[in-house]
Amino acid sequence: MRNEDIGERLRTTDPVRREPGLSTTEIQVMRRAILAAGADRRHAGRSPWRLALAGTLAFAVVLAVFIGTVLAPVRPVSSGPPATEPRQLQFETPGGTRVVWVLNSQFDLPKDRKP
Amino acid sequence: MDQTRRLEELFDRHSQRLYRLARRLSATHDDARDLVQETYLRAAQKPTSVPAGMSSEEAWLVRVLINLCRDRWRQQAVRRRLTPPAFTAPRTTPSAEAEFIARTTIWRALELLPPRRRAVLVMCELEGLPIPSVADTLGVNAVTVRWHLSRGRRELARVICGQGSVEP
Repeated sequence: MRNEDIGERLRTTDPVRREPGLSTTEIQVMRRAILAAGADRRHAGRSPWRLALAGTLAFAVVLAVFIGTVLAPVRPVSSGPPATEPRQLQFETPGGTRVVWVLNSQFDLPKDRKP
Repeated sequence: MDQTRRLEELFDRHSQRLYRLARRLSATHDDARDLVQETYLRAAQKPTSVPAGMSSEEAWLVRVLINLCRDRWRQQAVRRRLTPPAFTAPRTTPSAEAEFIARTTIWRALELLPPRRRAVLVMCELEGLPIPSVADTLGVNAVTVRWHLSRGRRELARVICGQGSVEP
């Protein structure tokens, strides 16, 4: 038997050509069933996902607070005055004159007095 | 895109074509309808695994359908082994009844072919698809498609001529 004969025989006895196919009712029923299955799957899958997300967020917040309170680096406390505040040096001469020097770190000579 | 909308589009675009394929791969209308529904249920379960694009999504659905078909075919093969079939190809005679039997013989023989080989025969012979297109849809090499086509034709011819049964 030739290949063409097999193809021809298949085509002449093709059930798709002889039968009406899916009816409108069957299509609607199938469509509804499939969409319902898709919706069920999403609802079933949503709750655990949200729960896991909420749990992760809560854990992250607790972890951040813990790190902030327990593991935060201790800042060194400086006892002296800030560098920008002018410092004073006071002394008294043997003759009784009291001298007060104000050491201002931001003091700058005028341009005409600069060496 | 909303998954419900995507499912609707998948169904509206491909259900008729899938049904035609399923009907040619199944013995009855009911089996074909169940196959189509099962295929779309797989898509509903794993919507993200369906690729985007008209031809890609169609190829995905066809492959799922053929895999489902293969599962059923294996179950039937086990049943056939347990209860040997009384299938013998009739010789054609001039009578109308014999003619009817001769015509249905080819489809009964087709049912015995492995699903992929059967799908190749259906796509090439009945849907008229070119071999590269069938290869793309099934996700196999064109050489494999040619091999299945050649072997399937030979097996059908052997059954029709009453020379034996189909080898899986």
